[in-house]
Amino acid sequence: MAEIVEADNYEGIITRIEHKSRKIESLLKQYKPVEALKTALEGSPPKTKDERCKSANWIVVHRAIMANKDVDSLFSALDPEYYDILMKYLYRGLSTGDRPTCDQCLRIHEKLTEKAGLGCILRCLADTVNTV
Amino acid sequence: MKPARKSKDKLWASTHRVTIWHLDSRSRFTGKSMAATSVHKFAQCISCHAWSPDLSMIAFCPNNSEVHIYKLSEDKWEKVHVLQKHDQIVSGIDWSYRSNKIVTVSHDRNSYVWNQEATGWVPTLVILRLNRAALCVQWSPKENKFAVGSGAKTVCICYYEQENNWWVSKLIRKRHDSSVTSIAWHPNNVLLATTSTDGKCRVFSTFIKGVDAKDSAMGNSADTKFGEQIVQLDLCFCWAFGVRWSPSGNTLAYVGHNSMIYFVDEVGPSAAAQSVAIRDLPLRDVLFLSERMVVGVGFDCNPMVFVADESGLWSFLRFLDERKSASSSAKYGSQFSEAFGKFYGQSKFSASNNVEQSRGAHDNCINCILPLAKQRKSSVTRFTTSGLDGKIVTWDLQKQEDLLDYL
Amino acid sequence: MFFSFCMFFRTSPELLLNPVTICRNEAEKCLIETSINSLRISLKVKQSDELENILTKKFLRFLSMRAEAFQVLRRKPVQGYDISFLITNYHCEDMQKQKLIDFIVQFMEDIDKEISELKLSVNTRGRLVATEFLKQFI
Repeated sequence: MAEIVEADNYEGIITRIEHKSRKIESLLKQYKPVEALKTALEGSPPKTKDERCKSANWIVVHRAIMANKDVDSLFSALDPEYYDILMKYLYRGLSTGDRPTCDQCLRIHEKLTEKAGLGCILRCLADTVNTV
Repeated sequence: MKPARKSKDKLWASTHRVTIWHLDSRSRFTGKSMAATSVHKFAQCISCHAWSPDLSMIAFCPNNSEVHIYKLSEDKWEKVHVLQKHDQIVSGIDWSYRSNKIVTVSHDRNSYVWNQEATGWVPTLVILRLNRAALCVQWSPKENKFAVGSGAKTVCICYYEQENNWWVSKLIRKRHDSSVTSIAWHPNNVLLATTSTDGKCRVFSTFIKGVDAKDSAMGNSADTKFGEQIVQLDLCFCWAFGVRWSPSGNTLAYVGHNSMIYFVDEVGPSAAAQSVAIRDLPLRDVLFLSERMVVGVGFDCNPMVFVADESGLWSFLRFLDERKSASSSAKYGSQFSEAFGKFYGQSKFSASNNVEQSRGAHDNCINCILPLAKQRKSSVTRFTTSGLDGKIVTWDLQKQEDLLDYL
Repeated sequence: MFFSFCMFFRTSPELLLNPVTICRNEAEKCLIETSINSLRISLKVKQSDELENILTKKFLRFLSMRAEAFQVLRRKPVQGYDISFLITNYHCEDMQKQKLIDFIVQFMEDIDKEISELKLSVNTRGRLVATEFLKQFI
């Protein structure tokens, strides 16, 4: 899993993230924030150690997280397989120190912990290989 | 919820893990009678325990350099022996079924084999040649060897040399990248599974010429050399703790600190693995009660039961103990109030310490689980657990009707 | 002892988990660092003005000076934070996990309240002193 990124690999990942970003924008225009979040979380975290790729992906996921204002309807539509990866991004959001981001992440975090339990948090803390 | 996949994935493709979630509402205690049949607080904290072959005595380490042996007489536990030889915390005890020998290992890097003689328990030092703490120990099924896992990233396989009247150790070196936290013997007396804090679970051959005789029961593993790595399981990205083989040796289970439990069938080149994500806090140790039922214990202070269905898919079934009520009305401890009081020159913070007593059998992390049986059996209904709360709890599944199908 | 811990984790980085920072905003945050046998929690308390800054410093210094009475309190906070707790395996063996958690949570809940109460009483006293002082000019 922990492969070192090469130059062309970096370009490839960035292109994929840009593509994902466009897809998310169009989903958001159609008022499908949950679909947008699912799209953002798919293929995350990028299988690389390159921080630039991780940051680029975070920007995309952040956009989708912030668009989900209705947390209850988010969780009625989000499948459990997304829980672990969403938790990782919530912690990234919580570490930014940006007030609106932190507030939104805390709100989702509360609901997610209720849904997925402490085990989900542990999997996020413990996975030192696939960091977001 | 994602439907559980019927086909088992190849080990190496760890990205295609079978993950069975149990994220629906918490499974509650459903049995009519309590599964915990006896709870006894022996010490402030217990690091490990072991039962005598006839189950009349229990040996445990009260989190110091001693091993206490208690005997049950007339429904009361009585301290009969204290084994004092180690200098630091005893981290592992195992009491052999047939030969009635106790082996202990400690953070002081030493191991002793204790023999019961007329005068009491007589220790024999085992030279392990470790430069870090020994962490776990287990007798092999035939009791002619025992294995010691250590913080020195090595596993010592110790065997008895008749001519020298001495336990000798042979090391499996340079295979682990971190401390070896748990070990488990395969019933064939040759294969040894280990877990370590590098997150890997590995299986080694411990075939020692002159100690192990080649016989058909060993299958292919009789052709392996000592220290040969049979398989390395790369499923967990965090510390791996307890590991255990099923009674037949066909399935291997181990737990990770990432709140996951892993089940591996047909350990070898064509191994198939399943990962089950746990909703709650991670496990520390596991025990197979039968081929189809596993109990995991850990930070949740409440044993979890995992079962396999007919197709061999593992899933979480339920907790064994009654769920505890979360104590939320806790206040500061007295020391804190004292300091605050001093600061204000008045007792502003009353020393109220009205934490609700949890109703579960254990109230701190459980780190050891053992079968309660007079010999190795294909299924057990009774087992004991010990943990940081200093209690040893006996569990009996005889009256847990929903679980008996899996035994 | 802590130094040896540091050396230990430098040679065995696999014994550390991902550190977590949880912020409410830039000024209020909490850092949680986990290792195989210990946990360090550091807090940065809200300080909206100079008075709160001084009060926080004095108050937390007072607590840190008495660190041994709290057992889990560290004498010196982690760089960039106001107060740090260090919970080791020894604490978990001696104390119940739930009570340790409750202690930390209660501490976090109360610290803001404490600071604002202190600030209020300082302000009240300041007003009183000013009134008394100005009386002579009447």
